[in-house]
Amino acid sequence: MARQRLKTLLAADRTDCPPEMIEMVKEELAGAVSRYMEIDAGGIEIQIRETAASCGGRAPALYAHIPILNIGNKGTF
Amino acid sequence: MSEVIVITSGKGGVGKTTTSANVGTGLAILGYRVALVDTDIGLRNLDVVMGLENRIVYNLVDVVEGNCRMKQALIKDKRYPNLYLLPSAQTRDKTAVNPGQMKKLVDDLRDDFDYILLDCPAGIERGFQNAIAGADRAIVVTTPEVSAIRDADRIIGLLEADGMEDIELLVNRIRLDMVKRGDMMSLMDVMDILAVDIIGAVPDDEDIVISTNQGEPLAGSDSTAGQAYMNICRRLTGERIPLMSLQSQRGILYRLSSFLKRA
Repeated sequence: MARQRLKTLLAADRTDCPPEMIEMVKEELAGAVSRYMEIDAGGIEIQIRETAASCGGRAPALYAHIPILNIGNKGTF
Repeated sequence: MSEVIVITSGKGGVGKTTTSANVGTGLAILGYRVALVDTDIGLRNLDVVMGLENRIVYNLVDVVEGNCRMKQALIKDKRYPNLYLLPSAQTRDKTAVNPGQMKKLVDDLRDDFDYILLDCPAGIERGFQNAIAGADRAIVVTTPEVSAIRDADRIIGLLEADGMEDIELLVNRIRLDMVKRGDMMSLMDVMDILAVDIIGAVPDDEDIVISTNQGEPLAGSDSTAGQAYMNICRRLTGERIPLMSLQSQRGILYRLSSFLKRA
């Protein structure tokens, strides 16, 4: 658990990504996804984590956890 | 050739001063001429950990301001004649010295010493900038905690930005019982997360608290921590020594005998 928290923290520190920007990404993602399915907007979690890069080494990646309430077709596309 | 090593951490309370005292003592045991410099102006502590607090006449700021010569301010250690301490000033603050003056002071020590260890204050402000100014190499001290490792990562970034090429991590206060239970990050976890070379690990050992309070560094003693510090010193001098497995805590017989020795 400590390991994961630390990784998240370091990734955010290293990318120098302000929390407000993460918040904006979260809102826009919620807007985009909810056009296609019903989601729990309050339960969204966004993280920047270090991952293995395809070229070797490490690279930050954005992870979004978006709980779906109803995956049914909303018929808007 | 002399080498100037800054011992830093970012976060306070992780063991910079204890590390400085023990690494300095260990290098002296190995026969090197060592100068310990306390760069924490206003909050000096290295003198107490070395047990030399009663011998201070002049300090680092006196040398910088020309109130005395370097030789007058250097205090010889109680036990090792090749180990010296340059104490910090207690009644001044970090702005009493600038990085250029610190670099000159450190360079003046190079002729007489093989290793010059700079005990850095916590933080990333003036005191840190002063301490790293004259250093060739850095040991970043951390503990296996999220907050300390986060600060270590930041310090490593700042050192790299300053052009420091030789940066190594020392993981302090590892508790094997907690690592085994999964309640503490292991050395491997830390190595994996911070991609930086490890100079060594020091177990969380009651003997360190005792030795620090007594003002007698335990490097070289037969305690686990004392051995860990000696391994770190040998690695600093270029010997290839594998990381000490903290698992190999000695058996009950050894503990019993060391207990009897102490009693």
